[in-house]
Amino acid sequence: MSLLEFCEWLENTQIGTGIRESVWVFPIIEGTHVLALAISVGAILWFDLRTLGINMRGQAISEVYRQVKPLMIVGFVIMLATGLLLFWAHAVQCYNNVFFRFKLAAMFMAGVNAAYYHFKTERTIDDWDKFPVPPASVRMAGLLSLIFWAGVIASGRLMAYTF
Amino acid sequence: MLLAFFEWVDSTRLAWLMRDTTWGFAIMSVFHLFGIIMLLGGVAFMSMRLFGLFMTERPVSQVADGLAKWTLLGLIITLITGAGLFSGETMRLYESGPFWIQMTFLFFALIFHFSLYRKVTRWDEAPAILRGVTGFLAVTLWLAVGIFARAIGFFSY
Repeated sequence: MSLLEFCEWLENTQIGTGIRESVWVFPIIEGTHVLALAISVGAILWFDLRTLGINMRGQAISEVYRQVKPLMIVGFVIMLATGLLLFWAHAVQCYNNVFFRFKLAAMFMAGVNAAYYHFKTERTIDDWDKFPVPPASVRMAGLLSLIFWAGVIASGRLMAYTF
Repeated sequence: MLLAFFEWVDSTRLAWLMRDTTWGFAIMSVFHLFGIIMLLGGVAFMSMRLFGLFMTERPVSQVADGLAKWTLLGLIITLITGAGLFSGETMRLYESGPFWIQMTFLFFALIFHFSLYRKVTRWDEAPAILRGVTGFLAVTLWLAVGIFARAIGFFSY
């Protein structure tokens, strides 16, 4: 089974068809997906601004991270769950959509950037945790995170336009 | 009078850019979304501080210090791009139920944001009940604005 055939099968399952054709379910899932953005990407934004040395400079980076982490995770889980349901209902259109591919690529890059920060850059956090403006490698992680997430959001919005 | 205003907006160059170009409206809506994330994100985190669920070891005014200017920037971006989006479908919005509900909530949300919310988020000795009510109102009002805004696209035409 090719990827396209899988998408065709997926959106024609009972759940896929049910979500797509319902008057209320699709808008509610879609609305939740967008509103969860404000929590998860909002949390990422506050942390990125801290790593860039722009905001909340008086607080240790690890402290800001610890505070925003639960919300980042909760928001992300809601976004992922609702996103999968939306995909389920429109799998073929997603497959054929160039912005959907951009979005996946941008999410992947955001993930790689976050992993690199946590597994590599963050190892030396004791040296710069309380710096108002942390070293360039940390600021770079924050800047890249902002760029990739902006890419995810922009392509997510634009894919709905080209359906 | 109101209809005349809508018709005037509909005749502007901005309306043409939003309505009759391929990407005008789409790009404007992307920036609208960026603004919303900053605004709603800022309000959500500030409210959680008011509820005592976030950055509890920091005074409320200090958390507000970190969030308020970004929230305001988000609000300004949202309002400007919102006006842009409005110009692209003015005449349809005039007939849209969800749009008028959104505008009503927006009216109250703005008044609240620059009065009670502004005061309580800068007042470290505010009673817990007042904090709770303020946080609840902030989340409810802005969420209502967002929900009816999203409903415009689904339930208007």
